[in-house]
Amino acid sequence: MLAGRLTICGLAAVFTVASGTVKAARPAVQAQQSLSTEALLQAYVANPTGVAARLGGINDLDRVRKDLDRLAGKFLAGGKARPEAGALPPVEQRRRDLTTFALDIAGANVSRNGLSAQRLVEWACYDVRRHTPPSDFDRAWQMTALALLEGEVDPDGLRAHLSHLDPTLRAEPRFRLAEAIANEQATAPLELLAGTDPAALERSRNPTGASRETMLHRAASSYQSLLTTPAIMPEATVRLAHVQLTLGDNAEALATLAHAEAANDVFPLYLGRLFKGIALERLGRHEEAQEAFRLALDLSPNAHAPTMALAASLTRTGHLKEAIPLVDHLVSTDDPQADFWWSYWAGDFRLWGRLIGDLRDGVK
Amino acid sequence: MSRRALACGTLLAAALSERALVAQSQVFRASVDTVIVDVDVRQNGHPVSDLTAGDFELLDNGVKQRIDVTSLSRAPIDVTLVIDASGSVDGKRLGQLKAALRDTVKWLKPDDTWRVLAVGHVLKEIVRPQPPGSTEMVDALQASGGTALNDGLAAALIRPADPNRRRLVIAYTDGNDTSSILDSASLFDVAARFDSVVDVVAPGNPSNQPAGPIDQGPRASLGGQVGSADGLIDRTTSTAVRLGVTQTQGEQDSGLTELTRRTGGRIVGLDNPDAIGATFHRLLDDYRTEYILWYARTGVPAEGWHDLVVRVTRHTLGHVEVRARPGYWG
Repeated sequence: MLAGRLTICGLAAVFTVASGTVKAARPAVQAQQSLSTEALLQAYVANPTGVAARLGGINDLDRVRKDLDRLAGKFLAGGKARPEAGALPPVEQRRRDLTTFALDIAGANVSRNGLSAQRLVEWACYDVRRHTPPSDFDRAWQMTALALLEGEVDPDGLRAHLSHLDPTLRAEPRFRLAEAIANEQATAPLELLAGTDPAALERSRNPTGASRETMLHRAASSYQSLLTTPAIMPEATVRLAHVQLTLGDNAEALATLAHAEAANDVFPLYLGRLFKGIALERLGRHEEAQEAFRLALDLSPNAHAPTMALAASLTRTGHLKEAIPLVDHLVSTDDPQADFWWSYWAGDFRLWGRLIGDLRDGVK
Repeated sequence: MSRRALACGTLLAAALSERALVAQSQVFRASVDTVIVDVDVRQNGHPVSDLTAGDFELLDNGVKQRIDVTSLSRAPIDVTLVIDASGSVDGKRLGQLKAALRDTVKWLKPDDTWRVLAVGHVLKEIVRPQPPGSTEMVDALQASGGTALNDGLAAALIRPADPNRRRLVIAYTDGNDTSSILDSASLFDVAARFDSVVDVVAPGNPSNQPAGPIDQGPRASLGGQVGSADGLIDRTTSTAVRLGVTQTQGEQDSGLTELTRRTGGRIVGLDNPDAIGATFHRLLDDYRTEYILWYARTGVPAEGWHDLVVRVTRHTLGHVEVRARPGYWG
């Protein structure tokens, strides 16, 4: 039953990411675009950070893409170099300006125009990927695009994007992790996927008609192959554990998580503790599970997932007097608490805010 | 855990039949040590309303118990409405849900209480437990994000015991769980530690539903088609509860159906969203036609899992459908 699914960025739409913390976002301001695409682009080029806040509220991203397609040739070829542009050739600076603007405007409107945002990213990607070998800017741009596309929870679209990247980029750890995330996203609840036709979604994410268990094992293999890559090992570890838990392989998940505490990034560290608690709970090791949930709460006090898991475990072990206040506090807290669990399926979208900020800084 | 029955009987009007007199005159007074079981008895879809303690047989782990019985209509009810407030209900459906909540309050008695839990990816209690009255708080219901239905149902159940009030949880959802951390097994385990009945209303197409009783599991006799005349049906097919970390193979498609079965509740397929309020009303009315059976457990150890079997033994009745929770954790 899929009455009214979440649209693109169904998960990501409810989160913004600031300083590594996932927070609930305010509803998008429904402001109409007051400037033409060309004027908006010119304003952005002059002051990307200042104009970024005005990029939201655009209802027709496809029109923006068509405008940019029409403007691109003239924009890339013409005009003088900006005095502050440094040593970059003018055409290169303008390529960066244009593609960053497109990505930024796609991100600002992704929650209501998911598929159109995806098309805009791919339109801009053409001007990024044809620049070979990839520069640091190209790498940063693609990582930012990945964050956006992963937040869309569209494994088919993510795989398509990855498939046309330069092989040297695809071999890098974060891009390999993205491929593994795409494999796991193919097993996500249909409501989280982009699109409106359940049958089409099912076909696109699983063209071979593989069983869900087969897809989960495929995802597990993808993560396992990354465990020896230090840069992404902590995240691959907790994601592998998640797949193992989904498969019901609780002891294996617990073994996988043995090294999760080595992470220095709060995202995998928190999830590692949460998943460890779930594995322990399922294995009947309730007191250890409760300790793991409390350790997760140390990292993110009042986070929903470990609070609820702890309350359930306490209830199951007869400690109702401890469980009730936890639940009472949880449901009466007006301000939604930070919980990385909510953004699990959205992959690197948690990094979107920082990454697009860096890109804006880079094109100033 | 020791349990005591604190029920006593009083006399009522002589106009009632003797059986009805006994059944309706029981004053429900229980303690936290009492085992309480809500029991729905139907014949041809209609509630059977004049049963007394002598008409029931209750086995706790196979041992017959001495029970007291009263009509649930005599007990104050705490109703918790668990409402799917995910992004998928935004728009017209959200308005229908708000209207349904406001209507529900009208059907409560003065000594009942109501409570509303909004379930997106965040759980939010938008109406604290309170007697029926103002419904302004319902305006705070907003829709966004995913659905943590299992978590929301657990939050609805985990409450302090009040043995003198009965508890009904009515949940509405229009889709699958996307955000819960609790899996179905955890939710079942939590539910078995409380005596709340859980009913679930979810989209369903009656034309796609097979006729006949829902799976009876360990119960002796069970059925309970609900309100077919109103276009309501019991969903006999599974409703998927798809979870992130919590889903394991084999449990993905039966969560809600199984939860209602394990709590003595029912899952109702609903085709017409305009009928959400009427469905809540019907479930509430049906709940009030149930019986409360209570007893001080004897002859069985308190700890551990207790299988419950409830039968109606009045042979003159013919075939009846009995629905009750199939067990509990001591």
